[in-house]
Amino acid sequence: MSASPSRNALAHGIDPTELVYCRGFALHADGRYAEAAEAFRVMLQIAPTDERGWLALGECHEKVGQERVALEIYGAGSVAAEPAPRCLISQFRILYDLGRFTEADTVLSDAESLAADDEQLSIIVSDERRLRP
Amino acid sequence: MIITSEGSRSTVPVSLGQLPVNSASPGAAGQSPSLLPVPQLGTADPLASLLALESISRGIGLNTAIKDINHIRMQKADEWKKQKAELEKAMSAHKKGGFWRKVGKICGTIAKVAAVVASIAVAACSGGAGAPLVLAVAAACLSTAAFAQSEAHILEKLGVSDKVAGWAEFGMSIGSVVCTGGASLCAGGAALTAVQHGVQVGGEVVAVGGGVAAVGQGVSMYEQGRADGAEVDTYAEIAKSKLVDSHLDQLLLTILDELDENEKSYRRAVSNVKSATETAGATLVSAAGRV
Repeated sequence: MSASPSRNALAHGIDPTELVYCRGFALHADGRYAEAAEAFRVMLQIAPTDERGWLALGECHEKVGQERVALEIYGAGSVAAEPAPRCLISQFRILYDLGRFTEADTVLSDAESLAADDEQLSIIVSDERRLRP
Repeated sequence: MIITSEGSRSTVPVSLGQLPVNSASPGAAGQSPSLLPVPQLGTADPLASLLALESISRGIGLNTAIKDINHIRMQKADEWKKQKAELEKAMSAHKKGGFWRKVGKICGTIAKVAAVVASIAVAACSGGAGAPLVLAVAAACLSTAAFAQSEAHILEKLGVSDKVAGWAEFGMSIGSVVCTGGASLCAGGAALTAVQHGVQVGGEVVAVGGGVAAVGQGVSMYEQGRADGAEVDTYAEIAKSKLVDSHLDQLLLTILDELDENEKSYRRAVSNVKSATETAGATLVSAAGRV
């Protein structure tokens, strides 16, 4: 019996985290959020300090309308994968949309300080401030 | 090949440095652009990356594969050593209340589940896990439960409502984890297979897919709030002695196989639909010709 593509890719030295993230990303892009979430859960077990896994799993829940679960996941990601400015920005968006403005402002300020050295992130944070004043 | 924000595909290669966020996804929430970074597998397009992986891997013989997997296993052992060190660091922060206090403030529901996960690891004497890994397992519990049931249901079960924004203030602290609840929870979890979304921590299966009831049970025990200072030491001791070995590799391979199988099945379904559509089209053309 021939080995599966994923096993072969692993044996070829492909980083398992990247492999699983790639698989989840493709499923996410296809709109198959439940299956993508499955892949991202696996990714989190392999690499709990990788911000992308938290961000991606949170997005899957947002896509199916589970904002509060997503908020929890982003929150955990912002601690487990610290520094995690993207998780903070995602948290901010949900908190703002839920009307929890004080918390939202605190979270965005945290993101702002983390993004200070990153031009692209700084732009994203500025945009968020403008779009959600 | 990349997918632009307008949904069309472009063949212009984009370096990862230039594109730190995912332009493939239209938006995380409403009209907000997605913050998801693209995978780092050489191309910006995930499907192209997977195809590239498949094509790369065709030439590899089984013997080489086994040799390489063994090599990866050795690397994993080193990673576990690092995780062990991280755990010790986390335990130190634990005593000061830093890490878990922060978790409790930011994501109270996951903190509750994390407490149960930690208690399972202790009670099963199967070793501990680094704090981020405990959080990851807890997040997986919450995520699986939310997909299987509904957000409202699972959050209600965990004692969270819209009106209670500050539920983290229910006196959450890792010191009040009740270790004794773990044994029965683990017994329930052991019946699950990896395919049922099980995850392994330190060699024992922790319920995830079927773990909603277990989580509920654990949370209620947790909320009894029986603080036990010695538990923290026990946790650290067990973690020190048992964390070295894990079956995470095997779990990973099993789940990857499952994902491959899902993908094949999905492709078959798409192909069947396509074929049915073509047949219908041909029938219509043929019928039109006869009229």
